[in-house]
Amino acid sequence: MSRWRFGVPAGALAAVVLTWFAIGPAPVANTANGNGIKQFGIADVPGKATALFPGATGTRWIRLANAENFPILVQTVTAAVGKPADGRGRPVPACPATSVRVDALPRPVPVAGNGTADVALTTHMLPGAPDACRSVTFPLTYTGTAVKP
Amino acid sequence: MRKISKRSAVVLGAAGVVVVAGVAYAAWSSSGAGTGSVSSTTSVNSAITPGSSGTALYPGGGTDFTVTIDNPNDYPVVVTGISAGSSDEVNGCAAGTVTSAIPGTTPGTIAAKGSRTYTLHATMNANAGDACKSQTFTLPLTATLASNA
Repeated sequence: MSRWRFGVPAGALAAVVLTWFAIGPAPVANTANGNGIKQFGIADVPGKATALFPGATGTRWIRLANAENFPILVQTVTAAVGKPADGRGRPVPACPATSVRVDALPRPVPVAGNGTADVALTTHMLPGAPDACRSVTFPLTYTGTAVKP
Repeated sequence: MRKISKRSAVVLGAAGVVVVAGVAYAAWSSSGAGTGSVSSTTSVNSAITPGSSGTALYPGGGTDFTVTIDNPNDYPVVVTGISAGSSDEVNGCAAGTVTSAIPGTTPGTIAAKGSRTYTLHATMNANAGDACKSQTFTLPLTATLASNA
């Protein structure tokens, strides 16, 4: 008798496969964003940014926060620069948002389960930024992607 | 009881692994989001201080003198212009007795927190009165600067 003869009947094997289907996607149902892993957080590291001036290159430290209990690999982070505001929060239309550029995450960054990782993004202010861009704050909107390594 | 064949088992098993693996890869991705900001620095005005006063003036005579311009900012600057100068009234010597012309060039970059010396040329009016003997003349000057990172 071949060893395959004590194998699982076709119906039982199909049941196993179906069970795998049922188990496999389970993390999706339990996640916040429906994509498989809870959305990770991206925020500024307080006090760790270079004040920009025309032609300057600086750093903007950000903190990646992993809400899952397993490690993730953050593969991309980009920052969209918004319209600046002065010290009183008033818009400064004479200073265009394009005066500042933030480079994307230079390389993938692992983040431990329930942990955080700090990483620096490179910032630039264009050499031709007008005087209106003095002492203003540019809002950033971060987006990123990650995978379970 | 119906037995499963080796071929069927291999096909079903492989299909199951492929499907489950595919689902797992697709499931374990995530996105991140957040907000932050970057700020620009302010600018601080420079000061012009007297340097060497040159040789003593007499009616119709002239001399080179120097001024030092500092840069209290955290970034390099260039002097884009220095105004003409005209002396204040001093001890009965009429205002405007000594003048300095706008310099043709103001070369060089002033490093952050640095300073640089510029040479100007002063001339005493040919009709300067006796009250202008042995006087020290003060010529108010202004300069324009621009960031040069």
